[in-house]
Formats: sequence, structure tokens, C-alpha cells
Amino acid sequence: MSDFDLDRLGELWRQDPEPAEVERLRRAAARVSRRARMAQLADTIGAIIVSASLVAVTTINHEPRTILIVTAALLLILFTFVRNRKLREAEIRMLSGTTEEMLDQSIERARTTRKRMRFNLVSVPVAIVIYSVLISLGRGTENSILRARLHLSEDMIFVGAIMLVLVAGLLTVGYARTFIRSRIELGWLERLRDAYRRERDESQ
Amino acid sequence: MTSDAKPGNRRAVASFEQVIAEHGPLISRIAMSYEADPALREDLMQQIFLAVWQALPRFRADSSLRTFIARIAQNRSISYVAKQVRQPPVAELDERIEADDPDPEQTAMEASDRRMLLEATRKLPLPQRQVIVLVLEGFDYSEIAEMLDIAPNALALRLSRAKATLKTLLERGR
Repeated sequence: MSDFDLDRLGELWRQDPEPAEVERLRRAAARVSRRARMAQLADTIGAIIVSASLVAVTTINHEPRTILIVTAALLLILFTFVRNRKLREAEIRMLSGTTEEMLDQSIERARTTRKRMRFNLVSVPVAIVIYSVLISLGRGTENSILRARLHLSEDMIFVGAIMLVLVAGLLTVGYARTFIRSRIELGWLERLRDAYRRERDESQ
Repeated sequence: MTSDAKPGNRRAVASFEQVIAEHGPLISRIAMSYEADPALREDLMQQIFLAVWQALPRFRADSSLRTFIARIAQNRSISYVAKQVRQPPVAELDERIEADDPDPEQTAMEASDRRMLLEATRKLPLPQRQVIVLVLEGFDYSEIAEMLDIAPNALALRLSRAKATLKTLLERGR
């Protein structure tokens, strides 16, 4: 590459791809669209089946409690559907907008993830402490809160505590990892946005 | 609708398959300028395809379809790179750019030049890389300024910096 000629570099860059490469792209795209269509269909069919089952339950059982639970479940399905649709639309707007807008939204999302992870990291040890207090209150006596409420034996409570600590440990590791990664991502996104702003500001 | 479709033309949008047949190589080159590892690039390409598939029904022909696709591909690539900085670095694999050409010497030289250009492009800072890739793709300056939502003088400044950096990188790579 002897000289710097942007037009020549452009021609080099845009060289026609191999027919095999074109075919590979076509197949990859067909696979993606097929999967996306299937996922859409599965979502719709799943929602219809669950809703129909819930309605069927109410026709069999007219109790006010059942009707209340079914109504709540249907509202939850509707809420999830609307929320997912809004999230998808926001994602599309973000991708088809300008890079700076996309970076702003990505930064916002990374900040939310960090806040959520920080909350989870605090709440898991707090939950363990609460559980330990509940176990230790009246332990070994008939007045134990857990024993009285859940009719559990001492052994079951002990195994439950071990399991809980294990799960909490795994969750904490997962949350800590996501927290650290989102901090790295956030730092990178903020630096990139600053770089874009600097480029823009310097030319004004 | 083809890439020469004019903005404002609200004819029926082409099917996803037609769009990929026409703009697939553009998407592939943009993905290539952001991800060197072929396996990860395949993942990025699929993410871009999915984004295009989802966004296509919302295309309102305010700009050309090619501009719309390039913008989605660039934005998806940048958000992909942001996600990648969270992961441990992956060893870069050797990239093979080959062409079935009757003149193997010429082909080898072109492949080598192309590889060098690609590697230099990947080393550019993202704001500069974005603008150079669009210029190399043959977009005119008004389209690029509109795509990046920047004033023509801001584009000129960014482009001149990008050219200078690219030139240095290419000379260093020689």
C-alpha cells in the first residue's frame, strides 16, 4: 500500500464479496429471521394457551379468590406483553437514532444495572441475617417462629439454612461480577460519549 | 426498494431477504471493522441482522435504506463493543481474505492491502472509525453528516483527523 488515496482505499474496501460469502450471509440472515419469527409465534401461542387455561379455571371454579388470582395473572401477562413491546421499540429507536443518543441510553441502562446490582448485593446479606434471626429466635423450642409457621423439623431448618447460604453465595458472586462488569462498561461508554462530544464541540 | 431509493419515497419496504441480498456485504464489512475474531463477528452479524429484521417495518424512508441499514449496523456494533469490554480479551485469530482470481499475484497483493486497511481501521478511535468506514463505503458527506447528526464542519474536522490517523497506521503497518 504505497500511497494514501481514500478513493482507491474505498474501492479496495468495497470489493465484491465471494459468491460463497454472499450465500453464507443469505443463509445466516434467513436463519435469524426464521428464529425471530418462531420466537414471536411461540410468545403469542404461549400467551394464548396460558390465558385460555386461566379463563378455563375460572369457568370451573367461580370462587372470588380464584377469579381474583386469574385476573391478576392475566393482568401480569398483559403487562409483560406491553412492557416487552415497549422495550423492543425503545431498542429499535436507539439503534436507528444517532450514536450519541444511543450512547446516552446505553449509559442510562448501565447505570440502572449498577444500581440494581448494588441493591441486590446489599439485600442478599440482609436476607441471610433476617433468616438467621428467625432461626435463632426460640431455636430448639416449640415457640420457634419457623417451626410454628411452617411445621418444619430442626433438621429441615438446618438443611434449609445451608442451602440458602449456598444459593446466596452464588447469587452474590453473580451480582458482584455483573456489578464490576457494568462499572467497566459504564466507564467505557462515558469515555466514548465524551470523545464524541469533544469532537463535536471542538468544531463549533 | 433498492439502495438508490430516494428519501421520502414511501413505496413498500423490501423484504428482509431482499435487503440482506443487497446490503449484506455492507453489514459484513461494518461488522469486520469492529470485530476481528471470526466467531465473535458471526455473533455480531446475527445481532445486526436481528436488529434490521426488527427495525425494517418501521423504516419510513426519511433517508435511503442503505443509510438506515448502515446506521443500525454501526450503532449495534458500537453497543456490541461496549458489551465486549466487559468480557476478558480473546486472542485475535489470523484473518484470511481470499478471492478466486485468475491472477494470484495481484489477488495476493490486494488481499494483503485489504487486510492492512482493515487492521488499521480497527485501530482507529471509534468516532474516527465510524466516519472512515462510512467514507470507505462510499456514502457522500451530506449523508454521513445526517447519519451522525453533526454539522458539515464537524464532519470535516473528524474526517481530517481520521484520515491522518489512518495514514499513520497504514505507514506503520507497511
